[in-house]
Amino acid sequence: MLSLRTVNKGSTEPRRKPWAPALAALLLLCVAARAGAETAPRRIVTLMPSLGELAADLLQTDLNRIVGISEYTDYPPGLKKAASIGRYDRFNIESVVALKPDLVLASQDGNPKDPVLHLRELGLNVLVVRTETFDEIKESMRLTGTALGFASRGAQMASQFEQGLSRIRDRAAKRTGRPRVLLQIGDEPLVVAGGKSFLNESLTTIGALNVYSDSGTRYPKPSVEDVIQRKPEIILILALGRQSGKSFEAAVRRWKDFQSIPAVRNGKVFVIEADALLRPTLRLLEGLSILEKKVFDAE
Amino acid sequence: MLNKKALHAYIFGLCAWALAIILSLKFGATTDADIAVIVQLRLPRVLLASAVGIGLSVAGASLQALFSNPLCEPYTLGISSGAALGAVFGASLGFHWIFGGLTGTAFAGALLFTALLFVVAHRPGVTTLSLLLAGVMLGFLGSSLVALWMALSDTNGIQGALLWLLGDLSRARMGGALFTLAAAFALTLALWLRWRELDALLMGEEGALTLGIAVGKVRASLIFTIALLVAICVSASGMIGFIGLVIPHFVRRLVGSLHLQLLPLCAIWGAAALTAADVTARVLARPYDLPVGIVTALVGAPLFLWILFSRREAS
Repeated sequence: MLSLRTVNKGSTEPRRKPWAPALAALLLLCVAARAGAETAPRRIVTLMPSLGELAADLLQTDLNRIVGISEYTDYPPGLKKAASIGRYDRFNIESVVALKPDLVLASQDGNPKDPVLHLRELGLNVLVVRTETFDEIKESMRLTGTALGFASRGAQMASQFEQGLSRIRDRAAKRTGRPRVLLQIGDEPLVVAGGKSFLNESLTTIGALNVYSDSGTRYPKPSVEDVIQRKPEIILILALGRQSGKSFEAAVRRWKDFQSIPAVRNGKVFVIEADALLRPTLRLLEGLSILEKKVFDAE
Repeated sequence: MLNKKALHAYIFGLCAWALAIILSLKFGATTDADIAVIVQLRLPRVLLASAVGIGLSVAGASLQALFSNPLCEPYTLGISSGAALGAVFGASLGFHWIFGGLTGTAFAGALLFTALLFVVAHRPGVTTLSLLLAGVMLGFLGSSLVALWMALSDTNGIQGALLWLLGDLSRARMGGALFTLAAAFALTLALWLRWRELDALLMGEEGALTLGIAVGKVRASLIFTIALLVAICVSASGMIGFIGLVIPHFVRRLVGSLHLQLLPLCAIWGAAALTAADVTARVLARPYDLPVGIVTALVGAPLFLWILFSRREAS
């Protein structure tokens, strides 16, 4: 994965993808080119709703420095005045360039790679963060803080996040037994959270066991037969975004035929509404407590 | 040599192309674009659209002559499936390296399939029809491998590759666009210089043989040139449909089937059509880019029907 940063304090991180070295070299060039010219950016464009949120949290009152946001950036409401650059997964390069940003915030885990590289080729200052693990989320808070000129706020936010996590971990440590959970994120075809997704880390943190933690991919598409074999005690269907409630009820009903699954037999198939669970910001902590309640209140 | 009809086709074609270029530079996702946006983003895109338009329609016209089959288009031979396979493979492994917006692994995949086709074309005794069928089968093989790869791997990175394959000019960079334009010009010229052989092939395999054309050799080298042209277009822009099918038929309607005029006119009209389609795709759903293939198909299909039926009525 990319570990791109345009701030000049690089730290070494484990290389996970074969093209990391090439990109690291690119990154070093960018760092070298920009080191020294470190003034607080005045025109910021964020390419993900979560990054808009993160930047707004860091800027606090100075929201008009964010001049462009991606569609569906709905929090905080003050951001809605900024120009839209399109949806995060197919943002419009021309709209971004036309805003003349002095900092573009992008995510490795949502924005398509080539257009982000294109922005950088056009000479824009682009910070790409990774948010797939809790450590990366903390790092993204620190990096974004530094890039926005609020390094201490960023560090503070990261430690706030860490404290929240350790409170949840403490609660988990006091519980005995780890319920086997299937976290379903798509229906027809069935898509679940695998071992390499950050949702796996969420389940582990609250003290549950993801029945697909051994999966090599992030979002495997198992057969129902395979799910039956893994005997989940709780099935959670993640209600994402703006789909209608009805489609989730249908997803719950589809499990009814498989009484050999403990979760189905014991009536523990739930829909969980937790957009915050997908926001790699401080709001993730809210998402985690919703997840925690669903899993353990059902016990 | 240059009759009145052909002259008109050249003049109108060049005017249409110029108009499309001007509109493309003028209109885009933002309404008040400054010179930097126009030069850095819209200009490469216009150049790339022109290059790919030239490449696809010239390749389509040549293939239709080569196989004496009016349904041939640049993607019939399965080269694009090779590109798709390369793009998806590269994207999921994270190294579909990009030079100026060109996808290296897509190009490699297209070249691999071109080589396979070339080997088939060189087999003794292979007929034009069996070569065509071999190309179609290569296409099926490629697309089923893409489907297999998708089913087995994490879809995160692949989705982008697939979207791109539906036809996308938004990745245009100046370097890649100029390279594609130069390659399209050069390969078009290479095909144009062989207009006599292409004309002879219009009479079918046997007809060409009686005219003293070494069909096997000519066919193999023409296929290689055309496939290279298609490979370059596909790795620059994905698969943009209809240009390669409709433009040759449209131009034939204007000046007839002889390649001395047909190929350059296809180049001009193809460039004009794709540039115009691209600006339409950019403006219709602002600020999103529609896949340009939607526009070419929406306009191309009725146009094709019109060409088809007006020809019937004339005869």
